[in-house]
Amino acid sequence: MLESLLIASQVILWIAVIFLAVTVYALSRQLARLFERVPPAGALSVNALLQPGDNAPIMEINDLNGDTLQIGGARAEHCLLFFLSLDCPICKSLLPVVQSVAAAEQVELIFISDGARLEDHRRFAHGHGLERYRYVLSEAVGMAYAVGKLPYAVLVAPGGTITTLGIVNNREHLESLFTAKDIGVGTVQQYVEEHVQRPN
Amino acid sequence: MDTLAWVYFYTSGWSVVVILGLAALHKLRFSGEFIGALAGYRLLPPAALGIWWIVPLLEMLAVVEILFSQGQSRWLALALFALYGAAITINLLRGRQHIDCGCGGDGTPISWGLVLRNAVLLAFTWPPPIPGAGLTTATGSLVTITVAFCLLAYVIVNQLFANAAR
Repeated sequence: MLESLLIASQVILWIAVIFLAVTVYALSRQLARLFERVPPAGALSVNALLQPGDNAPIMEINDLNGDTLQIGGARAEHCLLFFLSLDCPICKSLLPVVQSVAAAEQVELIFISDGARLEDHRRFAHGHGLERYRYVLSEAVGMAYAVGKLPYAVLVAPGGTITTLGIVNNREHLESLFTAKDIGVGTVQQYVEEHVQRPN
Repeated sequence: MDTLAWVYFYTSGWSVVVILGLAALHKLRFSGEFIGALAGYRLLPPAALGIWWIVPLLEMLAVVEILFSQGQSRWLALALFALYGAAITINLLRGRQHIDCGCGGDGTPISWGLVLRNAVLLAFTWPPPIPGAGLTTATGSLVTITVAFCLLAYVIVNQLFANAAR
């Protein structure tokens, strides 16, 4: 009797194993198709004024310490302009990410903000350990770069042209800016147009 | 081999009971969805769609038949699965792969995979040999686990079909 039970159990288990193996195979196929279909996550570029490849608007501005700083124009290395505001929670959560990405990619990082009083920005910069970076309080820069939504980032090439730009909501978006730099594609929209065949 | 016969006898019966019962409830609860799928098959004249409720009713009766015969009589369920399989096959041959199968859950277009799934269910309703004496508690536990596995497998297969269509 026990032998019969064990045989039955064994038969059922084999059926289960085979079924599960087939299921795992089917799932892996579906996963592969999913990867093909989902375009790379990236910063969404919505900017009516500037396109990748345009010259970055050149501006002379004072930073929080009162030192003069030039935004745009030729410089030694890539420059990442990070637009934020004090009342934007995502901007705050991205601060450590921006710093680590900028350090890893060895680019100059400039924070640009507007609204609120100078004192509040100083306290903010101090509280988040941003004293090491240039921090600009200016509405004019945001206007010149047509920044509509925050957090926003613009990557400027050493020659003074815009490599890429877009809304950045997470680390993937930020890193996609540098991927854009590396592969020479301006925006994720451009990439999808050129590389991804849409399913009909 | 008696244990295996018992396990097959009860597992096939209970699986069909649960699948048909849930299918009937789903059709009654989301009748609009079901009528839409039924119309999509283009097998019934539009006037006949008014008596859509006959399908869940037959499914309920099939459940009752299996339960009251203690798993020995499964003819109505067999007829229903054969009918569904035929309806899907006819539409596949017509080249209408895009229609919803009306299986419930996420929308699933009909495919040969669904015909295969139906064939397995059909096999489950084929009158099984009634095993001799010897149903023990241990066998009963094995049956319970196997039924649970079969139902889970059914859900997984349905979900895979639904995913494949996206």
